[in-house]
Amino acid sequence: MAAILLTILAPLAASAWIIVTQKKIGYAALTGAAGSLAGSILLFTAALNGAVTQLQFAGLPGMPFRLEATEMAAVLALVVSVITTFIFVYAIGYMKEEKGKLRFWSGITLFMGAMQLLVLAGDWILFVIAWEVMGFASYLLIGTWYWKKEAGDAANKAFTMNRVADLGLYVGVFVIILAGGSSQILAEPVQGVSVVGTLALLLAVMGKSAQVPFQSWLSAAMAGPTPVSALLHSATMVAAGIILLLKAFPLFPPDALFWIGLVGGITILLTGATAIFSEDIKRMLAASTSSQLGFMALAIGAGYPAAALAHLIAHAFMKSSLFLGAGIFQHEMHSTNYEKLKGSGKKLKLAFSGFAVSGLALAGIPPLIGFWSKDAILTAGLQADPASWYFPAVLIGAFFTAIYMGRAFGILWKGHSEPEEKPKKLPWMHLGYLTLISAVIAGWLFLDPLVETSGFSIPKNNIAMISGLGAAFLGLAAGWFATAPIFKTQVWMFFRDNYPVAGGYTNVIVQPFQMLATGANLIEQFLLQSVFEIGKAFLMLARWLANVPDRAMAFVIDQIGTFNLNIGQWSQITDDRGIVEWIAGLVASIQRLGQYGRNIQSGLVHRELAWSVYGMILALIILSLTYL
Amino acid sequence: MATDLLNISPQLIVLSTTVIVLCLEMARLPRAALWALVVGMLTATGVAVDMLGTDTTAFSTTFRVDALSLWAVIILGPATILFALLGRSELKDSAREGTIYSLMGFSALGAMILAGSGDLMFIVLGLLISTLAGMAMAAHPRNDPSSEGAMKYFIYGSVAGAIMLFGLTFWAGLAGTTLISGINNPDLSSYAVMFGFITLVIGIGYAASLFPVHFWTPDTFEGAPVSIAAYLSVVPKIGALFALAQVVRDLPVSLVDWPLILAVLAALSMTFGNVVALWQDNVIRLLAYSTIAQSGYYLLGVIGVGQSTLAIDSMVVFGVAYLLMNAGAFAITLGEGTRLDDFKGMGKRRPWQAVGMTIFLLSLVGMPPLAGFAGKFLLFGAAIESGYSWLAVVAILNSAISLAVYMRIVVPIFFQEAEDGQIRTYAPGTSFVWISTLALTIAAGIGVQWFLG
Repeated sequence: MAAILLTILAPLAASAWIIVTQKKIGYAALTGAAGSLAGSILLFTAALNGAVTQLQFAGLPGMPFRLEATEMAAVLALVVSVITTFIFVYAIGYMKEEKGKLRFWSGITLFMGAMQLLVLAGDWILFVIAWEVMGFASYLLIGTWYWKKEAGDAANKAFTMNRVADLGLYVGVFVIILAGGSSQILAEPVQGVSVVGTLALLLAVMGKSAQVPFQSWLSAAMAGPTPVSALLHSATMVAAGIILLLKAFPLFPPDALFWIGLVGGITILLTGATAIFSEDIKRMLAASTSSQLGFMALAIGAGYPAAALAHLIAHAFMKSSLFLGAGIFQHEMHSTNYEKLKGSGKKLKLAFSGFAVSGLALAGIPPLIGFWSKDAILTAGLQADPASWYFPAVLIGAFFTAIYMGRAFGILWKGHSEPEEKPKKLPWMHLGYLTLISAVIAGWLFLDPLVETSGFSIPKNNIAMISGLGAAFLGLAAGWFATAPIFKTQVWMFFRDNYPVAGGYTNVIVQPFQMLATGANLIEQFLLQSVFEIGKAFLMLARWLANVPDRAMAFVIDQIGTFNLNIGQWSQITDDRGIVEWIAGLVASIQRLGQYGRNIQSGLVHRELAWSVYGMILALIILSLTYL
Repeated sequence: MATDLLNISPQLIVLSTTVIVLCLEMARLPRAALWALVVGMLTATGVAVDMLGTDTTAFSTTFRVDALSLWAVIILGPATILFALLGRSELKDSAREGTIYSLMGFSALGAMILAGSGDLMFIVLGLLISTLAGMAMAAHPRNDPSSEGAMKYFIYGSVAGAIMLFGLTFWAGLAGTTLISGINNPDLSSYAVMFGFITLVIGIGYAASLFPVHFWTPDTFEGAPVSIAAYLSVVPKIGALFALAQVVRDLPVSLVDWPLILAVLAALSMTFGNVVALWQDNVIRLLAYSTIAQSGYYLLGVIGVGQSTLAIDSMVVFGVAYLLMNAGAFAITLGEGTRLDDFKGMGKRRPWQAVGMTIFLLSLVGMPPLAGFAGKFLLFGAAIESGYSWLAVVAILNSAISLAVYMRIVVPIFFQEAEDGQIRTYAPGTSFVWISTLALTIAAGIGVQWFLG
């Protein structure tokens, strides 16, 4: 019981300490993380012995708050605290020369505490609380450098998008509690959690885990410091969506799984293509995160939570080390743009070899950790019922993964980098980085036992393994040679002369993908367009209703005027892209509605009283209708 | 007779306290008047807590002593103290300071009478006592905005009251009684009951600032002193909504489909309040629209009365939560100033108050684990149990809009630089109010289980 509290409260206490004393903040955060790590180790050893730690305390009537370290929760808590602790170690070095330390450290410890609470929550209300606190902390962290416009915008974007999707969590949790009569997170099925309830939860997952069409906040979130990205993209934040699916998995009706798999499959392909065409190492990694989380969603849709859990753990280690590696490049080269980074791998050999190891793992090369988890996902895709499209989707996704990683290696290694100053010594950063990489290398030792402790077993299949390996090698080779197209004409020529085969690859592989990506963009625009049309229709209705009391002539003229104005405004909004604009449009239309409300509120008491009487008459009419 | 008097002892204590307060004001002892009010209200609250669990009536069933009326005392007694302390901070040493305390006492008495109404006459009486005293308080500064606001409150009250009396005459006339337990006879003409019920909703909705009789709210709040606006946003509202719950408790849906009409009004109030609030630049007006929206949420609990086991609990919990978060938000507004610009840079200037204000506003949105979440959660549950799931969905969507409303205050606090200008100070009373309500907002959200027993 003490262990479960230690796991959650140690980082929170560190956060409070940092805000109050403002001294030794980096080390205070590290102490908090270490406390959490110690707590989670205790929980994990207890779980190994089959003991489930539980704690109940105040809450809503009949629905107490409940903390519960089930086997799966203990494993996840351990993964979270290990990764977070070493990211903190790295961050001590990273933040040394950066501004915004106070906000960074207080936010990131709060974030860790919230994540542990989410993992260990044994009832849905506590889960919602943790989910919200984590969202708030992520807002603080992405906006660490709030004086930069980019960072502030990114923080707002992440927050608003997640808020929209969070509505789904509220609805879904309501459905679960009403259907089951209890707020406890149970491992057995509950009757009555309909497809609608599942879809509501899925909406929340899509927001948090950056699934299509909510994927864009994740790449914008790059505006935060690198340790924040490493944390958001690995064991926390985006992982929360998958943890929600894992915790709620027993509740889902079989019909609903299809939708989860569909969302996962679409995300794998679209964001995988985005990653291939990225011009920036961090943006590539961000798109890759969405894509990898798509694998997990698909595995859950296929009915194999074990595969999703394995990939969640493996991906957490791989992606955090990739980000930390990218952060070292950024620190040394002062850029994350591929063009600036080209060839820098030769100079930063240590950072590059770490990056290469984690990248090969992500592509699925044995014996690294990613090979085992990708194998599990492929098997899940192969053995699931509608295997006809699950398996190809996963296989293409694995191929894409290998391409973008291979391309990153190619860019970082090939070419000449400007000899700048000598590499700095970054002891803290390297310590955190190398520890996580050793976990990626040694993953085959602990991945199986971890998943088995959680009460699952990883699915394995030879066909899946062989085809996965084929996709990985083919993709890596393709990526390695397809570095050219991003470069300006001159460099392009230079590369083509050196690697004549690259042109062939460009035509065969790159162009079709480019077309695919364009096509996907068109579909997205079409969808947005339809949403706008529906919104427009409602807005017109609202305007018409609001203007009823005007005199007929004024009404008609006014309508024609506002109608044109509207079309202008809406077409302006439709010209812009992306769901953020859609939200902005929604807000604008709500504000416009508000303006009508304000017109009603004229301040003249006789007019307002007339409105009250209209309201009363309306109420009378409604009631009279009930007698019909 | 003696048991009747014993049963209404909390209300009697409030009455005698208020009379004493009035006498002390006549002797020009405002400080003593405040202390008398504090002691008297605490006593009444204590007696009411002791009586919890009683379920009886007094004076031939015209007054009900039940969970609703006792909880009304327990909520409104401390509420009056909190607002009196705010009033002391704001109006100290002004002429007629003490009258505010006695008027607060009278108005609270009216609200407590409303909450225990067993007879239509008590509803009329309670409404008059609570709103007339409120009007006098709103006019206290005697300048143009306050007189205009008070006048508006008065005119609205007169018209709404007249309509209500007119409608109730038909209803009571047909039923042959003014007892609430007697006006639900299924043999009555439904059209007369319908008309009577609608007019009753108009009269009560006026005190509770429900759409479409909310128009006075922003103007009156803006003109009145901040502490009085805070008072008017809480005390008459809780009394009026509890009275509505007393009426619909015995009203069969077959006679008049009251949940439907309340659901429509709730949806309109929530949406109107939140949407118009998006436009406000004045914090008091913004909070005024927010109280209209919160009244809409509150109706979800009334709809559940008689149909959902959560209904009474939800009304009590939300009442407590609403008092705490609203009093806190108004207290900090009193300390900082009423324009949105006054809040700029507050995060640097006064970090603790800034965090406090953020927590109050998040509680108004309904973020877990704060008091507002517990209240709204129960309200939504009550509506869903009564078969009004669509209304709960509307309410959840409105919560999302309301986040944007309250963020209008949070953003200048943390993300804008302060303007040069005189910095206001916090009087001790104001500090006491916001700190105590902040602690309770957090504690009530976490401890709501023990809170309900």
